[in-house]
Amino acid sequence: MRGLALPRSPKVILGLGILGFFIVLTVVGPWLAPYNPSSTAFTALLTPSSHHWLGTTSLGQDIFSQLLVGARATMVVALVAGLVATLLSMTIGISAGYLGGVPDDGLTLLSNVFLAIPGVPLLIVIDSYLPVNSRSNEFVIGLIISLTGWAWGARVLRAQTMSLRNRDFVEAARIIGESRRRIMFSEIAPNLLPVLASSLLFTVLYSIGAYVTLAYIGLTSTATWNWGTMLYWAQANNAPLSNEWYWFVPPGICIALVGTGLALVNFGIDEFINPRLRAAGLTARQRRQLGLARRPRLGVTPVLRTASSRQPTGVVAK
Amino acid sequence: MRIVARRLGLYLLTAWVAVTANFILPRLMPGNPVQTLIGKITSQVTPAEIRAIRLSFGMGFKQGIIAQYFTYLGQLFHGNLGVSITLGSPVSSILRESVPWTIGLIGISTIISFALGTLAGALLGWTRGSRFDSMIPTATFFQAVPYFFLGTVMLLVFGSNLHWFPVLGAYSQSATPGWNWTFIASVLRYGELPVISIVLSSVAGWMLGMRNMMITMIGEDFVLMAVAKGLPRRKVIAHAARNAVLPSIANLSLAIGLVVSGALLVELVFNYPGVGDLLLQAVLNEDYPLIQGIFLVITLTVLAANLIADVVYLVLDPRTRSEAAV
Amino acid sequence: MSATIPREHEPTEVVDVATSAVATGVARHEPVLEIEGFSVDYGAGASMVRAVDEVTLRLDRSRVLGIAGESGSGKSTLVYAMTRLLRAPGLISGGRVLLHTTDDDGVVTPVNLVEASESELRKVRWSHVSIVLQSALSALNPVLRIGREFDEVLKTHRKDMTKAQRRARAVELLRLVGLTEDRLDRYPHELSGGQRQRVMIAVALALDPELVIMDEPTTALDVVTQREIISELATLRARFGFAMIFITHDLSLLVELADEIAVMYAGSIVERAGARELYEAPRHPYTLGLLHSFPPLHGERRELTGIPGSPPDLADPPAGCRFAPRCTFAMARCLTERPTLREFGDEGRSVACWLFDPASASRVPVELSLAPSARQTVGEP
Repeated sequence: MRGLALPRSPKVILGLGILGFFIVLTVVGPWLAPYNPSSTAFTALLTPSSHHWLGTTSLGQDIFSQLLVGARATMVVALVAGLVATLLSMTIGISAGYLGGVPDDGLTLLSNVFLAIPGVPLLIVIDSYLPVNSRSNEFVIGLIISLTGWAWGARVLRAQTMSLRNRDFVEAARIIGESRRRIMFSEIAPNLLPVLASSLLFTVLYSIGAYVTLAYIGLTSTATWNWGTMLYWAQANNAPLSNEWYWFVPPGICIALVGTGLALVNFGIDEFINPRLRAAGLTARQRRQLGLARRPRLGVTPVLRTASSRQPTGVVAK
Repeated sequence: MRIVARRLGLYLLTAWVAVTANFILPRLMPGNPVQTLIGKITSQVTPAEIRAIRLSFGMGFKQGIIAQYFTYLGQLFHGNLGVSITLGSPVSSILRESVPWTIGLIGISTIISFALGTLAGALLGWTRGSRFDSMIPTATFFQAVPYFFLGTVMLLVFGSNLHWFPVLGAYSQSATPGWNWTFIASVLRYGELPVISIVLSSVAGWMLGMRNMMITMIGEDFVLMAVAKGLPRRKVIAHAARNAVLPSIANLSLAIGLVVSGALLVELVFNYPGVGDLLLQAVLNEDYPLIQGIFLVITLTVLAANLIADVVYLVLDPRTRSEAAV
Repeated sequence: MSATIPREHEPTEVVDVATSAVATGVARHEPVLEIEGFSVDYGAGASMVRAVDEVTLRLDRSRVLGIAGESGSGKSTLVYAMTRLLRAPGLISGGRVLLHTTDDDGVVTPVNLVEASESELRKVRWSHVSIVLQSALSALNPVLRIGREFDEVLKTHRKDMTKAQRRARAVELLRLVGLTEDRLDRYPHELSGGQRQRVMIAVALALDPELVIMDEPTTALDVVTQREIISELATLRARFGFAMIFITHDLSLLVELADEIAVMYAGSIVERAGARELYEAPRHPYTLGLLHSFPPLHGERRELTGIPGSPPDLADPPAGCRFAPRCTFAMARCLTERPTLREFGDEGRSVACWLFDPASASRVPVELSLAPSARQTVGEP
């Protein structure tokens, strides 16, 4: 079993920093909000000021409060959808990869069908039939999103499971007579941790996109504050064309930042899974130490000019 | 060609699943959708309209559910997608007008974005470790921005403020639709900003994927051999890139779905007369026959695009070809 | 046709034995490759590892040098770094590599590969030095037909050849390695392992290079194919007179093909001798152990004992002789003082081992003091 020690590249640190910030915001956002986001007590369409950092909407609501409160619903849906989808991918992908034969054919076909159906249009259809009280429930929305988002992860996990199926430790577990379920979820799954993590980040990313899209076209309850509904109201009131950037730009930037954070951490996991992606060889600092002017290129192995004075015990490091 | 046949089978199955979902979903929802719909129509409802609505759900007659299902399939087979509640005309004829706009816009954007992203990704992968690497977080940011948000910002900055591009619609009001130059030129001009928006939102995904594959390929022996053979650098890069692009094409099925989903909303932002804009109207008006029709058309188009991607992959990778021959 | 490619590609079915014999005969003592004090490191700073440590070698025209050693001994690192093909984090930290290139007019120019620029390297590569890798499957681009491998090499380096001439040359080369023309239109995965490796050899000979480097070209093949390819290589070498560096961990392969053998251990050459002398009368304890690790391709069966222990960690090598911790004959001196490659009595061969130093006042163990003829007994033809 190998743990998940992420490479400490600046990309990963930046990503974790961004994610950390938004996770904190999810928890404390609603308490930090200076006003009730639905309160229409203020003058409409104020520009940003010290009282209203991001101005007010055409109904006189405080935009900054909406942004802070909206973080929670957005992140909760994304997380619920991501977790459920990853659980589905894991169950279906590992079963297909480990069991093989007819179950594999059936499950692979199922995931291929779900992969081929465009997810967001399907979501829109399903969601448009939902009663209004379900639409305002983040958990229902998250579950439906997860239904359209598990297939990719299942495919990747199936391939990875097949490569593990005949490894010694799985063989050993079989000989001891452990049950199939135990082998799949106690022996194989822990070894797929990096792939699972990557799959989780990917589905969370997809879920944010899907949820915000649904909210933006008005298919979630417009009374629940999330970044998508903010964009919906901004669009509905023609904020973009009226140059009220402070209304629609902040939620968009927040969505993109969360996505960037997820993708950057995923970069680190990719580097963990595929060693070739890791900064191969010489870091920029090592290159400077060695006095190499440029990055080594394939087919031109660099030559140290100060070769004769070097000792093989790392004297250069000093 | 067995592989193509197998994929075709998968897509037919997928299409059937989508069609069946359209049949089942209204029945799973609480209440009678036909009554709900009729209740929503504010104007006078003629018996003919009620019949049309029932038909579009396959609930036309007093039939068992199985028979209803076959009636529904038969209607679909004859291209009858029902009648739009709000627009009053057959869904199929509404779609016939809007689908070409969507296919044109998304198709062209996707081709441009794939070509640009793949090229840039190949170079980023080759020059890994250079200062170009600092582009990665920026690219990741663009990858994460919702399409419709980027479209909105583009519209605001370059359309309504700088007036570099015409905004809203697919062609100038002064042009007469048809095969004349004024109209085509106008379509191209109006298409620029939506295309740029979609390309900007989707190019980073292709680019980052290609970069990672390129780095993996550069680690392969055959690329080292290309260097050992004294080939010029661009040929060495071509050796790696030719192989690195294969997974991008293999993953196209996932990507096309995502790009289409995103791009549909861009149409909405730009008031582009495609199915995206139509879908929003239908959703807002709870025009179920239209929603279902649009979903079916989008699914079928995406499946067709997948099939094209599969054939391209088959042409580019001889290994899958000979497996098919076995 | 030693160093030039025939402009007219009439089928050369009959080998001009006289010419090639003269060519090789004349060139016998001219060097094609001289390596001096060549060192290669991986990484930098505290994590630095010296993978090749001040290696000096000389290879004459048309000769075959075998380099043997366990994996991690630095044998592959040596040849990749020498041709500047070694990937990051490898870097050359000293020495020089002179490749004596002969142009179409027979003029010999030494090129120091360590100093060469990228464009100079590009001119030398494949025209003067070519490489065959262990796995032909990964060395051939999976999505290109075999014909392209020949075509792009000829197109790049023989700009005056027409498409038809390139094709004819490719067919001619394929015939040399016993393959038919129809293979040109196949993809790598459609060929057998042996066929793929033959293709690689044919491509390596496409430009009549002075030096061909073989990095364990037969390791991935079955024993029968291995034998066939080794004997084909011997024939091709006799016919075209290229020099060869053949890397393997299997010493018994080398004795069939090589003129001389260098044994590498932990980044240095520990013994160097004529192939037969080394095989029959090893001097270095490591060579002895290596000989006991593989069954000979033919001839007497030996008991396979292998070498106890594992190669040293190059990031923190032992103070004295690097083989001392695994050596059954190690003395006190071996643990503190590092031996260098020297001639100790035997003519034309050298060894880096204190056992042979007269100053050591030790007796050379009987296994390591055989005369070359002593082993030439049973099973030899």
